[in-house]
Amino acid sequence: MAEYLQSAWTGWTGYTDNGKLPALLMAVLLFLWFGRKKREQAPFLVYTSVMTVCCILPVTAALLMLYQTKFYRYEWIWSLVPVTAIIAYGLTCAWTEYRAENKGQWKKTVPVTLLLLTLLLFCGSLGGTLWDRDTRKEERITAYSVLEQLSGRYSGDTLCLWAPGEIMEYAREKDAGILLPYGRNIRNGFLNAYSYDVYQEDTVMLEQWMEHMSMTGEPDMETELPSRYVVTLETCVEKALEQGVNCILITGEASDNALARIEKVLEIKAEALEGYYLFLVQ
Amino acid sequence: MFDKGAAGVKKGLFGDFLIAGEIIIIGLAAAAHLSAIVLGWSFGRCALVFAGLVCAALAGGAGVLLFRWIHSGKRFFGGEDRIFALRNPGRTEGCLYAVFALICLSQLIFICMGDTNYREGDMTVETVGSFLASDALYQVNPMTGFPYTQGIPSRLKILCLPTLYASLARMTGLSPAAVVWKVIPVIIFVSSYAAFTLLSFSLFPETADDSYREKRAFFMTIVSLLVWVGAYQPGMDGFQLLCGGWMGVTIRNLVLLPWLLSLCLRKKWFLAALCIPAEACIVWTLYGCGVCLPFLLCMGILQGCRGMRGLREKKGGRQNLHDDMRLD
Repeated sequence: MAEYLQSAWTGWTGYTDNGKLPALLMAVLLFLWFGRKKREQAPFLVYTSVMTVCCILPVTAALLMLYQTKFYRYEWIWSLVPVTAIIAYGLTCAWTEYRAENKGQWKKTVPVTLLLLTLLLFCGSLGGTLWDRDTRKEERITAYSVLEQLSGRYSGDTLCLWAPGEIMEYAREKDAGILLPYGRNIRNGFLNAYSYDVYQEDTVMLEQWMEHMSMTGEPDMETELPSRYVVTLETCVEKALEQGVNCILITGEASDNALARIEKVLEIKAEALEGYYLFLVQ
Repeated sequence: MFDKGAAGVKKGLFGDFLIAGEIIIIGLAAAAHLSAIVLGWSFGRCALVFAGLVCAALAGGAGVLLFRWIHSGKRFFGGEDRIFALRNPGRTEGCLYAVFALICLSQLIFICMGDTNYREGDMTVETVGSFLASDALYQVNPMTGFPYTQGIPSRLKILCLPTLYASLARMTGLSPAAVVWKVIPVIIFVSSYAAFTLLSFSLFPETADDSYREKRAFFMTIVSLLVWVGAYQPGMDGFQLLCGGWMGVTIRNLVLLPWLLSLCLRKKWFLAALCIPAEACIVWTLYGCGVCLPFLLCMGILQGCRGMRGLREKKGGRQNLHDDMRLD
């Protein structure tokens, strides 16, 4: 429960950091309760107010998180609050009532309309997103191009690919016929909730070695877990072959030593492919 | 203090038919999906059964519509409170709807221009692709393509959206990415605005003057603006609609919940109850009961309390009148 309380507290802070729609929600609720004489949609208002309070107070928020279980993060308990509907309803009431009181006086109604609009726009970011879409787009275009060429060059039945993360990330999305020793869930633990399967140590080592190779271009990787030892290129390539890999793609920055050693283990020559070296085991 | 709400809007509206139709399609997909899981059918067979069920439902729906049209004549779909009123809008109302249309258009372009999808923690495209590639449901791990070693949670296994999307991909010949990231978000986008339109009808029922029409137009304009404004982080309505339209939680939060709220305000409890199984089929609620059930229960209780209070006030009024008459 302490963990839930902690998540509820930090979750609320995170929820209000990026945008200020929760603040607008509060303002609208206050207006609907105390700024008007009549309450046409009382059940809607009561429900939204109670749920809003429950989502903000850490104890009730923790209980709601317990109800929705650990799979969903704090922000999802706000599904219980019709945020968009109540804000739109409150602003509509405010604007139409003010307009009715000042009928024909556009000098009064236009500034209020603009004020409402500004208030609304300052509460969020118009279409702004948290991740860099342009980088993602470029990554995807490159990965798709590499994968297309790979599929064209491979003449066997099933392609089992071991490649740097930026290619593996899009491989199954581009072509579900391609097999991988590990998927993007190896780095995104949230995706592991969808299955009881877990990756073995050997598979995790393959991923770490490939990322090490992509960053340094060097064939051997030192690791400290479970004890200090060196993971060699030969060990990793053999483990990959054991797992059914028949296509290895490594970074174009790989050292000559690394290339020579892979060629020796696989007994095939490397082929250049859009900034990568390709080893196809037919 | 508490005025009469939207209970007067009892008639089925066009948007009701649209969203109820979508829920029926989700139900049919769930039926085909569960049959395939239990009986061990291949995906191809499951898609065929689903297509057959949809055709049967369409034929049945067309039959019902024809029957109702014959019996109700010109008045069918022609009620006063239909969505697309053909009356001339006022100047302010027209301006508001024009702004609303422009904002919607910009959002549609945003969805269609690509790479707006947010796939952190989501593997729908891979799951749909693995159904198509392996011709089986949940036999291989979508992340790797290899058979599961330990399997997946059974609550997850009964969710039908991947089967629905994979069937659409099979029928249309489109890639899983195109179906999941383009076609479905556009459908959900339209459905979401239909749900909010219905909500505007419930929140602002018809009055003697025409002020309700402006209110509805302003409400829809603000909703469309809120979608843009709220597109700043996952979990916000705007973000979900623009960057994750294919997700079950988006369908629940942006289609089912506004519709459910509208139905609760109109006291259409049977249709409202439909949202609960629909949510169970599309959202991984794990072992909780989801959002629609507590939402419906709370709104039902509150509407009931309001009804009883109204009844008591009415009775009190009558008693006072009776006492007054006796005194006279």
